[in-house]
Amino acid sequence: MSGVLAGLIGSFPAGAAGAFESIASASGTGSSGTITFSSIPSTYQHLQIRGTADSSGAGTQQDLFITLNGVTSASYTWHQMRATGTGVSPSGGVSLTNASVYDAVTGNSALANVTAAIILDIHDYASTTKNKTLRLFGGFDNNGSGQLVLHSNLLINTSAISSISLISGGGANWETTTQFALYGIKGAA
Amino acid sequence: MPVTYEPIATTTLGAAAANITFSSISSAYTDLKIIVANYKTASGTQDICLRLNGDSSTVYSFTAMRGDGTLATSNRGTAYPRAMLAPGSWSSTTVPATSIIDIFNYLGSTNKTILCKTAAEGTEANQIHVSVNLWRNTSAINSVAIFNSGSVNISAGTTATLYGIKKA
Repeated sequence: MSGVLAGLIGSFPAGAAGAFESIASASGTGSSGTITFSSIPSTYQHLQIRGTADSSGAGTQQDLFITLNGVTSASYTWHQMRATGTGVSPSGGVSLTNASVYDAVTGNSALANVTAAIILDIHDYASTTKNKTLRLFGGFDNNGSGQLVLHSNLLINTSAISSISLISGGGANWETTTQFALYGIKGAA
Repeated sequence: MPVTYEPIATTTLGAAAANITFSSISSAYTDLKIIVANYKTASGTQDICLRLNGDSSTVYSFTAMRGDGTLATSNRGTAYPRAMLAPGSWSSTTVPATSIIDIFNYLGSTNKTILCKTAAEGTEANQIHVSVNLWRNTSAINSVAIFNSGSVNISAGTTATLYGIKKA
């Protein structure tokens, strides 16, 4: 898998002493559809990924697929609310092989230099007793089209998360305007 | 270790004002976040709006979703002279709204995408609202103004804090 980046440890704050730390960041290359944060330290309470997402896949919008720890067994379930400007579509599913966030990012028919934005939260990622819940808020406006997405996902697996892969839908690549940054959020000592 | 999430500026209105503006924003970060609290208007119900770099040309557009306890609805607008954070007459004179605004890659050379969550509970404005706005301008952002849609002042006591988030 190309575009794989090793996670680095950071250290920082959101208020007092270093509660929100930058761990690693990665950009699309235009030639790979996967960006992976690996070797994620277990020293935080929660993780957040923020960034801009732009796929080379066909259409105005494309899907974002997420795998945790490289797990591709049918153990992901999801619910999503998607707003299109004219209506809101709720949807959901079970037994998927990845966390599938549908229509969340821009495809190659979107306006030039328009990217989606995402905020992905993974709570209690280092727990070894809890299944893992993901929450994503994101989407894009394309001056007359576009999608807004509220998404939740469950990985039925209690292992601590040490790697996260963000995969472009449509078997396409991440454009160079794609930028993901991984942050760790500390709990109280 | 570099600071990755820090407050840049806070404004609390001591008197009603036309806007809250953060200017000369540092270029030291990757994303900007603004948390607006106790947002009320001087009269009527108004849309909460945002303007970047003072640009009032019609290059803003939005897609939004709103829940009012009964229905989830969506609306969209194009060719606006401002970003519409919570379109639908959100803020009022009595019900304080709170908003979290995320501006991504604000120094980048792409058009700018903005995510926003807004909530208020009360008799005049009781909804939860999320939106994505597009500013079709590739300039780096150096100022952000928050204001009401109807040329109505923001009430005293409204607070806004600008944060910078820096990636590794």
